[in-house]
Amino acid sequence: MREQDPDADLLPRIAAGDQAAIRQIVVSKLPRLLALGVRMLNNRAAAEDIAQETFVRLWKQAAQWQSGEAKLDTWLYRVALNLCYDRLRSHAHIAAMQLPDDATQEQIDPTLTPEQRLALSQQGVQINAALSLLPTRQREALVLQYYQELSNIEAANLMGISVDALESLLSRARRNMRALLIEKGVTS
Amino acid sequence: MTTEDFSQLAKIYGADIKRWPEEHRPMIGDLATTQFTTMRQILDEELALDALLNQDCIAPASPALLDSIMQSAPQTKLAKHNAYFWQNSHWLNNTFKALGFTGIGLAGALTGMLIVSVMSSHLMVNNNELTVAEMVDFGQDWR
Repeated sequence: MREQDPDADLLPRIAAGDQAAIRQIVVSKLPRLLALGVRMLNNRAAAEDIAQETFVRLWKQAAQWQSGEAKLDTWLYRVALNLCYDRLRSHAHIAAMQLPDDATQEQIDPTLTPEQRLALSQQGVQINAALSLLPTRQREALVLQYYQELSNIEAANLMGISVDALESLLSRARRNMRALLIEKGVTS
Repeated sequence: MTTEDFSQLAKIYGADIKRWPEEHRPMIGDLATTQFTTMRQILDEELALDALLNQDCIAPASPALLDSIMQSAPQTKLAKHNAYFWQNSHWLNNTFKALGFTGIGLAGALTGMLIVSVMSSHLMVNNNELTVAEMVDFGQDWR
């Protein structure tokens, strides 16, 4: 039996323009979509564009939503990942190492000294940069399973591969991340 | 489950066993009774990588992004009507402007009228205070 989608009830309300339902869906889904984009592209502005475009597509889809076909989360991930792939294929995306922005630094423990905050922030940037150097499918597997905390079955379904293939990608992704972080001097 | 299986799973899913597929978890307890130290070493190795991966934190969405997404969302018919009305109400703006100018003009006229009225009433009072002798020229010859 198909699992009940907890968001299914919100979609007709969204289609009718119910602002409370719209806010609820944006507040609950935006952080994950944004994080997915940032980690897949290593570019915050591009990730924001993708999050926005994903919601625009949801607004268009809401009226025709067929409950029972796909879970909203799965649909959102699929749309966002496709947009990430489009961006990665296009020459518009520049996978360059970026300086930490103020918003990222604000995420770090405020009780630390400025030097400690800077060091941690720089380490975060190095990790994001190492992630961007992984082959795309390995990165996608690691982002979906580790960072987005999807089950292995959900992640494999989204990627259109078997669980065995996903596990192989995850194992290589972790091994490569360790090697890249050693190379960058983040760890020994 | 063997220690090799355990090591393989740790290399795939990391050190946090809660993240492992559920079907593998019950077997971990059995292995721990005999291989606890080896298991600890395997997990420690993956724990170091997990700790680094967890340092990659993403800043929350800006209020501007949130607003922009909210504004792109569908609206109720009434909200759409209201938005259309206010966005396309140039005639209303022009009417308000015209009314504003008229109001200023009227206020000016009223102020002017008030000043004239006050001044003329002042003159009237002065006239009333003139004596009969001052008002009437009797002529030099009469004296």
